[in-house]
Amino acid sequence: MSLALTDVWFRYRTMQTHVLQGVSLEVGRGESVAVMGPSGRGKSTLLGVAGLILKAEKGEVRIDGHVRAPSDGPGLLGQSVGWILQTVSLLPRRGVVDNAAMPLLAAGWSRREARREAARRLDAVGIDPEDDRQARTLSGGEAQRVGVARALAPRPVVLLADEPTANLDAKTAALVGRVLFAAARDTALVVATHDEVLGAMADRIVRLGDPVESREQP
Amino acid sequence: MTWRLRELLTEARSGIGPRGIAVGLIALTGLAAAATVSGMQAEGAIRQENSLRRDGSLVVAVQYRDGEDMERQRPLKGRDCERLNGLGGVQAAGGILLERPPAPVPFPEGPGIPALHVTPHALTVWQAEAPMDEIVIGPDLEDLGTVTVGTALIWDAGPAYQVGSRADAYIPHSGLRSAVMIPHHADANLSECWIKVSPGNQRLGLELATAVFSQAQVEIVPWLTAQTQTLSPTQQWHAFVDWHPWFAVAVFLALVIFVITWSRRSEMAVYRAFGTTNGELTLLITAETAVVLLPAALVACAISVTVTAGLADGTIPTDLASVIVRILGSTTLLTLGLTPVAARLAIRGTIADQLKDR
Ligand SMILES: Nc1ncnc2c1ncn2[C@@H]1O[C@H](COP(=O)(O)OP(=O)(O)OP(=O)(O)O)[C@@H](O)[C@H]1O
Ligand SMILES: [Mg+2]
Repeated sequence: MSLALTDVWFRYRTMQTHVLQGVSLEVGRGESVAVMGPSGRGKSTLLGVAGLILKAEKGEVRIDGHVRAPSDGPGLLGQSVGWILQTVSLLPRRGVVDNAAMPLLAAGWSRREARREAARRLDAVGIDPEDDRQARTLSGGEAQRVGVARALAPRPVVLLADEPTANLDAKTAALVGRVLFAAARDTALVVATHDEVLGAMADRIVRLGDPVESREQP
Repeated sequence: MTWRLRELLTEARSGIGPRGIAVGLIALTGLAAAATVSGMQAEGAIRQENSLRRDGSLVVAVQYRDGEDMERQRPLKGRDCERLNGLGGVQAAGGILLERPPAPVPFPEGPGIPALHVTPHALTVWQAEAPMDEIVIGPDLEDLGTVTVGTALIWDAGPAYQVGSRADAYIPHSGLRSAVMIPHHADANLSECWIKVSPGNQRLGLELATAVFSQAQVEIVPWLTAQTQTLSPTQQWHAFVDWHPWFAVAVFLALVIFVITWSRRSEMAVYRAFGTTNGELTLLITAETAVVLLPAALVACAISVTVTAGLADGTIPTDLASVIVRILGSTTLLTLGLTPVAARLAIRGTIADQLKDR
């Protein structure tokens, strides 16, 4: 199993109740899951725990069969686990190729090799790498597609996308969604979204309900 | 599984945006201001020190006092004074004859006088600092009628000097430079002996004077009292602090770097979210800072040298230029040393929070 969460509990230090109360989730390679549910129910939090930027209070996070925690550090972050973020998070003054190449550079690639691979990824999501435009000049949809190319460049085992289409109009959202699901064929894809159209593209939908305060604490 | 150093440095160079340029301009202003202020302070201090020396701060005067009610004191022995010449740390020693000297050996048959400055009532002669061939005679020597402006003085087979001008009054002690000769009256009595020491040897001058003239009823005084010896601890501390505006500038620049890095936290979080460690990020920020700071320091150097020179009659002595270069070097190094600390503080915290900071 590429990604396996088992009975995960999580609480922000400033909060009384647990945002995640015994959540379990399994996603295999090439499989996609949409995490849906009302705002504030912990979709981003779930992705944070799965993506090793938040530490579960209880429960297990397995990536590619190994139990992992944030302390396993940047060796996994952005490499085994790719991120696509809600707000556009490109380096604004850098070209799209450098942006998409960044995770590879962080993994020790030479810039030439990294840029070549990034260009292939950009091509696959419909961005022309020859143009190499500055990220700040891109439209929201273009930027999000560069984000997809960047996240997939290091061939992650797990790809996490937090509301990748939230800032886009319906037509662009559908395009980005198609690009995302097509490009992520080789990974385990988890998408947090409010967008039913995007959700419907996933193999499965997981709905996070209301947090139940009376549930047993770990 | 980490950045190659070369690629990280390239990343730093490419990552310099408007904020980096702002840091560069702030650094340029701060560095230029610190270096110029320090340069001007140094210029003032050097000028003051030079004028103190010109006024005789390196001269110790040993004076014979002929008290009225005292039994007759022994005057200073000319030979005691003369033999101080040639001691390490002593640049020159000589004095004033107690009594008006007899006529010197007629010139030009007799030996010449290897000196330039002649004081009233003295046959002690001094070699001036510059120009070497300029000779000044005192009025009393001229009164003897054998030497006057225009005459040549020859000393043994040594160099010939031409008497260039006539001193109307007392010549400043700072004129003392090299060995002094008392041609006819090595044993003559002196009313005053001067010891001119090389810089840093004021104490030695006082000690020598005390040791050599301990037998006489004498007064031993520095010609000028150095100002630093009269400063209170508070004043000394103020003087010390005044000398270090560069320190404040380095701390200020580190603060600017902290604030700028803080404002780029979400950008830094993106780097972190894709596998860059905090250590690598710190190096990245430090390298970015270096890329803007080093050119800023060079331009600041040019500016402050120009400004300081402009304020100091258009020329700038090499020691002053080296003060400015060292100030800028220290500030730049200190800033670069503080940058990793500032950067590390600014990127502290969890990635999850930083990705939301926008
Ligand atoms: N850093 C934090 N500190 C404290 N509480 C937080 C923090 N981040 C989120 N929360 C809280 O945790 C809960 C879940 O937040 P989360 O961001 O996971 O929701 P979400 O389902 O992604 O919502 P949305 O659909 O609006 O993005 C919310 O009640 C939120 O207020
Ligand atoms: Mg969310």
